Amino acid sequence: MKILPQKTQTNQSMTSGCITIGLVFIFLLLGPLLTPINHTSQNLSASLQPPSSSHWMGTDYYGRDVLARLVFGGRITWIIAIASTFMAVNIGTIIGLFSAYQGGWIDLIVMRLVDVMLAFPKLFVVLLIVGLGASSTSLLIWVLALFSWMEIARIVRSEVMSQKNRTYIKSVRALGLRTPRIVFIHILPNVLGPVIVSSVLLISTIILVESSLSFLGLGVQAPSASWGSILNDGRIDPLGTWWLSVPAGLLILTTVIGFNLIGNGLHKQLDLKKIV
Amino acid sequence: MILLAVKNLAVQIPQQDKTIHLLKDISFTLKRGETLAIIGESGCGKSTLCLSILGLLPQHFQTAGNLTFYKNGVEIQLQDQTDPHFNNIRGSIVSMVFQDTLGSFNPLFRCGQQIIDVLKEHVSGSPIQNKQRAIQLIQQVGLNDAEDVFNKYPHQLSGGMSQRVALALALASNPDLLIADEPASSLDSMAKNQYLDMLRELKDKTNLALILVLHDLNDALRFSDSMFVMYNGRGFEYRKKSDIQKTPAHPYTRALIDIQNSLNQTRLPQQIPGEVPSITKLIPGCPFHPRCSKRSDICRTTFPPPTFFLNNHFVCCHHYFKSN
Repeated sequence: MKILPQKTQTNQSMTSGCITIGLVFIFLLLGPLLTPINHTSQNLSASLQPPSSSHWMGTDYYGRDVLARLVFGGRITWIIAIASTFMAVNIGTIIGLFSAYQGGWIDLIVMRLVDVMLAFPKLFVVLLIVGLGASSTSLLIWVLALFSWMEIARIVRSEVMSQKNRTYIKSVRALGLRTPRIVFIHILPNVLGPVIVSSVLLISTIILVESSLSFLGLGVQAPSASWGSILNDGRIDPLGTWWLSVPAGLLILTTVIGFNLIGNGLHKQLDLKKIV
Repeated sequence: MILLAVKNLAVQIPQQDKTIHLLKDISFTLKRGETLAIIGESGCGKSTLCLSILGLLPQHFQTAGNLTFYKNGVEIQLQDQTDPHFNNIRGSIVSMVFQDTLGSFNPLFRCGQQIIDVLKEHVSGSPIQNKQRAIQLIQQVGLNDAEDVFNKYPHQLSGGMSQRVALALALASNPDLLIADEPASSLDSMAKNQYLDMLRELKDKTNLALILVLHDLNDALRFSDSMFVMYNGRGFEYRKKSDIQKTPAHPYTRALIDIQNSLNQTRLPQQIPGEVPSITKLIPGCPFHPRCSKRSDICRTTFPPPTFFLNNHFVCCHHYFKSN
């Protein structure tokens, strides 16, 4: 008798993604223990110092501790990314559910709106709005969310479309369940898989957009920091002041790769055949 | 006491160049505690008929005719599929067991939870009462380890179990009428008979009315009070079971009974010559005429008007009186 090899359930991309994101998270969480210095306190006499025992990651133009700024900026970047993803996912899920379940002309109009929104170059529009308005973190979160929900809405819609014709939905309708109960209790949990995957991937997209905005000076404003703005601090002489640009760039890179790995891992784990 | 009256029900799908008639002129009445078997070949509109009674047809289907439900002396008339009254009827007066019973469960929830979900909608009770009621329902459909089944996910059920749990789910809302679309088609004949016997016991206990969609004429003859024979979206014969068994009035019914008899006597089964016509094709006159042994010229041009018996029972055949 031939013994079949046991199917191993390792999910390398999930594991490595979790380790990467876990490490960055621990760095952001425990960062203040590494440096007691406030991220905004200036010391012009210690401007642009390379890494030393008093400033482990050196100082910037105003003599602010780069390590403290990386920790603080990272927290801001993460909060912005996670908050706007959370909002985008909620908006997208509700619109997608509603549109697909209603069907007919409502669906038609909503989906054309989505098409129009998707046709805008995201970064450009966000730049415009943030540039016109007084730049603040909450505005940034809103704007990023309002320009990111469309993919989620499309995914939810297509999933609901396929779920709502399944027998179990006919069955609960035949049993007299009301529409809100059917939509939120029976359909929603069945479409969450792809939504979770794409929202994790959305986090990394939003981190990139936010970093780009802050790099261009339109995102998080000084004296506050984000990884993008720290990257910008080292823009003038990237080789000479490498301790400004390289760590911030690496942190953006690792976080984005980490979230993408988790997204791929979840995709595999949840056994999703299709994802937009 | 009458529970449901269907009058001249018609369902059609309008298309650009033509209209597809799925159901034409379907009429029957159903009393409390009565079992009506709907008999017909695949594609003759049996499932469409069931869905139209529940108001669950797709939005682009057009309906005509009347459905009237009677509950506690109140008459509820339903004109078309979008009638908001359907919301009060589904579950509380009529519910349905689908052919694909395993597919009629939400794959993410335990079976018990799904029964409780229906109870929450229709019966107000505390969570503990609901759980007890759910377990009681599972026991009622003949599953002994009810507590165990309560905690199972749908994919953990066997074919026979899923059939029974689906029945428990449909009975949770305490309906007056249960529609079962080929209720035991996936079971072997032993399990099927057990299942149908259990259904009959339940019906006798609770005075439930049943509409059984069946393929097997034998089952229909054993378990029903009256039979509705369908062909190509039309009702050919609607009579008491005993009458149909003794003196089938329509040539199609007669042919079906003959086949059944030949099977019961282990002879080689006879077959009705010709093919089942597609529902999309419009056949002038009586749709059965190309296969009918008694056809005459009038069958090719005109659909026979119904000849009525007692209780709105009828047969649609030009030759009914001639052959008697």
